Amino acid sequence: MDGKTRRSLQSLSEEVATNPNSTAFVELAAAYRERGDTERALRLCLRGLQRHPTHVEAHFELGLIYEARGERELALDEWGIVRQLAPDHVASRLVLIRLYLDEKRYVDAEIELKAARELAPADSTVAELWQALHAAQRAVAPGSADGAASADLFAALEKEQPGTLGIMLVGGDGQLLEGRMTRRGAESDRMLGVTLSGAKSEATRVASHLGLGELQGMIIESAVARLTVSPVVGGIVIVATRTEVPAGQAARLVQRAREIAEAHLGNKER
Amino acid sequence: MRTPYENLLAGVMRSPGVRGALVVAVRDGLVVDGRVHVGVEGEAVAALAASLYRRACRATGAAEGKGRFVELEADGGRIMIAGKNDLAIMAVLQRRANAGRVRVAVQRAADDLAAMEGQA
Repeated sequence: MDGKTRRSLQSLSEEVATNPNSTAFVELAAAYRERGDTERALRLCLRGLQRHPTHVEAHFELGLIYEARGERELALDEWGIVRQLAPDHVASRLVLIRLYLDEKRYVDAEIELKAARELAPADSTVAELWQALHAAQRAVAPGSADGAASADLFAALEKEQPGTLGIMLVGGDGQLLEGRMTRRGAESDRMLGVTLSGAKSEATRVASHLGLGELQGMIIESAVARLTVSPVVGGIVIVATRTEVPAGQAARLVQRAREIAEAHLGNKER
Repeated sequence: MRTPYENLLAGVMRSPGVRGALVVAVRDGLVVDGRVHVGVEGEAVAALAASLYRRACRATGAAEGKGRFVELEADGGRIMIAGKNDLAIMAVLQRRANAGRVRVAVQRAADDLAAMEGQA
């Protein structure tokens, strides 16, 4: 909003009330959020998005509202949508980077920063965030707990089923908890976990928005591999098999992996 | 009005329990052609599912021109998306639909779609 003349709350309210198709709801929601009335801001934004489901700034604002309400996962979802709709939207990348740095998700922060640097090479905020990332990365000792997942949890199951390429358990925050997937190492596994965790969040929203109810799972299939993403309490299980493995067999493998993951997470809670 | 996608969409809609079939531009999620039952928001399905499809393809390192199939399963139904190039075919399924049968129909339609794109 910098550099623009702010319209009064009354003028914005009148426009939204008289013209339901107006996109002034975004500015009005921002005004309410800044006043601390996130409930009204949220209602306005959600209602506006029903009429303008691909309005980039509305999704960005909705993310800011969720963040203000402490609902970070939902905020991440919204900014993820912004990224999908407008890959060159720098502001959404900057808020994402800050969030990732706060959550010590340095791999994600670096990915976003690289993209932001390409989009806005002269942006001083991008440079500042790079410095913050490097400082944070230096502070993390090599071989620390960050991503040091065990491969043993699913090892027996993987051996039982020929054609299994890997099984991973990823936490609700996108962090790899257990298992291995790619031969390229833990870093690749972590990135896959983070990306598919985001994809699962998006799938959940899609299912909910379209009135399909609760998400049960998602299958992504290429010419060589089939990835199944299944939600469990506190995370997701990702199972990769070769495409030649019959779908029914793969589904049984996924079910068993889910059971193992749920038992493991249950034990951890206790 | 007949469109080039008429037969392709009809092939997917023929399976019991399919409530909608759409040809969608993957890049922007816009509907190119579609047949949907009453109550199915075709444009919303296209926009949201295309976004999910792009994300899923990125997650698996998909390059354009390589076929991908994405299936979302929920309590109340499924969405299937398959494509090879710029266009994808989507199907909205009721819970009772035979997923295996529709999957074959969707993948066949995606092959046909890719062949049509190749000719264009």
